[in-house]
Amino acid sequence: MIYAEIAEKVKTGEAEAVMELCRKALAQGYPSLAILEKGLIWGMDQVADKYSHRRVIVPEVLMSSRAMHAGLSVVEPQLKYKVKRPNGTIVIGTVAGDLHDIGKNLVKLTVMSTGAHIVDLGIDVTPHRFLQAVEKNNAEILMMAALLTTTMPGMKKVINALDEAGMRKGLIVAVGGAPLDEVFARGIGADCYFRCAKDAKSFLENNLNKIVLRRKLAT
Amino acid sequence: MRIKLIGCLSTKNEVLELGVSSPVDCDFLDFALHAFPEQLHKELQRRIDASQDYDLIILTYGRCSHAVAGLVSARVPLVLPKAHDCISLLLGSDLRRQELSEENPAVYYFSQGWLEYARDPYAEYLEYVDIYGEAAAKYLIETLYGMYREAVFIRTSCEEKKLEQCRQRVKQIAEFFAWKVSEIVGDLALLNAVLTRKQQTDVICVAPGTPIILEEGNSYAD
Repeated sequence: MIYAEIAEKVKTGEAEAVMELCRKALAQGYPSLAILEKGLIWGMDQVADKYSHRRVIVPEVLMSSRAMHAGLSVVEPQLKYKVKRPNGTIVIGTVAGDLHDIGKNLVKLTVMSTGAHIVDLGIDVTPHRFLQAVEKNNAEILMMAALLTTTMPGMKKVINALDEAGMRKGLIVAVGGAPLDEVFARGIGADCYFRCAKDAKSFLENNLNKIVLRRKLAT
Repeated sequence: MRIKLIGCLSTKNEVLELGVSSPVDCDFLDFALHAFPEQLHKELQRRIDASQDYDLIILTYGRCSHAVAGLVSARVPLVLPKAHDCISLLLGSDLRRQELSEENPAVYYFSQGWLEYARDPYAEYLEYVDIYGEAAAKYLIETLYGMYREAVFIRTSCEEKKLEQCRQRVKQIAEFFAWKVSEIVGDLALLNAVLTRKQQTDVICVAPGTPIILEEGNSYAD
C-alpha cells in the first residue's frame, strides 16, 4: 500500500523517497488528503510516538520532519480547495529571549491534522506580539514554548498581560518546553502543560471543538 | 570536616584552579548529562545518597534545566550556587548573563571545559556527515544551531598554550558556522563562594532532609 510506504519513509527520514512516493501516488490518482493523512501524518505520528516524552530532540526526529516537509511540498499544492474548513485558530511561538524552535515546529507539524489554523509567530516573541496575534486572529488557543530556565518566566509575563487586557475569556493558554513541568504551568496560571507534541495532539483531538464553542460563548 | 564535591566536568578545571582543600573528595560527572535533565537528576540523587557519610556536600551545578530541583540529602547539608547553569557560574552571576543576553541573545558560549569535555557543534556536524551524508548533516546542523550568530569564549585562568588552543578551536568552529567571535573574561567569585561556603544570597544552603526548591523569583524572572 502506497500510504504505508510513504509513512515508512517518513519514519526513516528519507526525504527524496517520500517526495518520489508522493508524486507517484498523486499520478496514480490517490487523493491528496489521504496521502497527507494516511501517509505523511501517520508516519510522523509514529515518530512522535516513538520519541514521545524524550526531553531531547534526536536527529532522527529532525530527519523525519524534513521528510514530511518534503512530502508536503508535493502534496500541498493539490490540497488547496480540498481541506476541511479550519476548526479553531492556534497562535504559537517561542517566548522573548529564546531562539529555540525545534520543539515548537514539531508541535506545529503534529497538530496540523486536527484541522486547526495555526499562526506561527516564530521565536523571540514579546508579550505584545502574542497579544496582538491572539486578538487579530481571534484565536481560541495560545501555545508558548521555552527551552531555557532563563526564558520560561517570560510565559508568566504573557499570561499577566492577557489577564490585564481582559483577553483570557475562553482562551486556552498552553505551555511546553524541556525545562517546564506541570507545577510550573499551574503556578503561572496556564491552562495546560504539554509534555510532548503527542500530548498536544491528543488534547486537541479530544477538546478542540469544545474549546472553539466555549470561546464563542465567552466572547 | 569531610566534604564531598559533586560537579560537572564543564567547570572541573575552574574548581581545581580555585583549589579545594585536601579533605574534599571530588566527583565530576559526564558533561553529556546536561542534555538529559531527568538522567542528570537521578545520577545526582544517587551520588548524594552515596555520600551520606560526609559532613557536607557541595554541588557545583546550577539549575541545569531544573535537574537539581527536588534533590534531597537525608542527613548531610548541601551547598550549591544560585545560577541557571555553568554559563552563569563562569560569568559570575545570572545577572551578568542576563545583561549579556539582552544585548545579544544569539550567542553560543564556549569555555575551556566545554571545549575539553563536550562535543562541540562542529564535531556534531562531522558525526552527522558520517551517518546521514553532507546535505542532511547541513540541514540538521542548521536546524539545531542556525539561530546563533556569535561565538563567545568565556576566558578563565589556564596555561597560555592551552588558552591559545581554545581560541583556535573556537575560531575554527565559528568560521564553519559564519559566527562572529569574541571573548570575555570569566568571573569565578560565585564558584569560589560556593567552594568556600560563604554566606551570601547567591549561595544556597540546604538543610538535611529538605528538598532543593528553586524559586522563580530571581533576577531573571522579573
